Amino acid sequence: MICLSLSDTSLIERCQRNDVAAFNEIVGRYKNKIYNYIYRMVGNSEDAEDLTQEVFVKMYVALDSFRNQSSLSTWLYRIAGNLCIDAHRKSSRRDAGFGGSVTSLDGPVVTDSGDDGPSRDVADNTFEPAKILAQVELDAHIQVALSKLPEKMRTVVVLHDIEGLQYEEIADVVDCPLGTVKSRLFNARTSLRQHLGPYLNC
Amino acid sequence: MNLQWFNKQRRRVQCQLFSSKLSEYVDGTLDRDLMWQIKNHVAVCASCMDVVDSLNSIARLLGLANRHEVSSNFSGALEARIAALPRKTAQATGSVFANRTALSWPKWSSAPVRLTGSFAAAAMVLIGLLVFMKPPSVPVSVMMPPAPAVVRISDLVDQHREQSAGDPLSDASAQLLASSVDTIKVDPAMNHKLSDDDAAVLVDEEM
Repeated sequence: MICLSLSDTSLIERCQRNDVAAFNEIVGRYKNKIYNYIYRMVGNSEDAEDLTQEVFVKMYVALDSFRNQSSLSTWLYRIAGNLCIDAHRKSSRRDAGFGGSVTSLDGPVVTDSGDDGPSRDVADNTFEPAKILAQVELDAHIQVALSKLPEKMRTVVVLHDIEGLQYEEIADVVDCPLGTVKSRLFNARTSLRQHLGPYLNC
Repeated sequence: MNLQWFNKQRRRVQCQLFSSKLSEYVDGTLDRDLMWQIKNHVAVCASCMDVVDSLNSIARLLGLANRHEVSSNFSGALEARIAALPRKTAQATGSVFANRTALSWPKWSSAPVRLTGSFAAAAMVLIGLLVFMKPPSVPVSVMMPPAPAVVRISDLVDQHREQSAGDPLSDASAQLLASSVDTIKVDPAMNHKLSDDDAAVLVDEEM
């Protein structure tokens, strides 16, 4: 429980000294952030969970080589982004389309646990079926719109508008100039205007 | 050329200048002067106002998107994956995660720990060798001839008298006195300095 108050830097140092609790704390802090990012990039929960685990496996293997030149979150997002690129290349070769399956707006809503039913993870705990269904439908439309963006633009808009990273952090994650991040974000949002037009006033 | 035409041209130029900055304007990351200029322009330019409104809506919509989370067996699956890594990369055996009490990670998973351990082991071996090994014997110079035994004649005579009173057959002093001249070496450097009784006799060790 001591790990709860430690900074990321301290946790990494403890991990490098074989502190299992510190590693567990890092996984606990970042698993959902990384999963959400990867989910938005690949479009399905199964691949997203597999790739999220791979992120932490890679972190585990490369712990000793981490030198605090960037933040822990930047490092994890960078690993995740590279894995998404690799996954996209494999799926492109496999089916010449967007990697993985995209949530169908006409098909049944299947939860991550495999049950049928309109239940997704939502921030509002109020049990209102219509509201939940509307949220699920909106989320599906967002995912479809994101899937139509080029990968580099999708990365920037997901990291900024969904994950809340700043321009500088995104530039560090994707390893490109700040100006490039800004222009990709502008272009991504402009493209999303066209695909999400009917939902902009919701 | 009138003021209306002039303002129209100015807005057109500003649209070209500011259009690429509208995303940053929405995010509030521009410097104060530029934010103020764009704000004033957007107030009088319908097309830029429309772009700003839709960019704001997009950013807000994406911010409200569902947060997806990992499944309940994520930690268990991750633990199994790490445990299944090849030993040279994982350096771990068995479970290392704790929903229960965790096992310690292997002690030698980091290079500094391995190095420290190696030095400690070497130090222990060295201490053991120093404590339990026999000290080397003092080297003997084999090149030097043995030191000659100096025997006084008067001592031999006294010893002869004592022995002859007891057991004359085992009197070593008589044997010595009776030995040939060749076996008794006289130190010429010392002979003329001593009296007959005290003459030093150099006895060959081989006798």
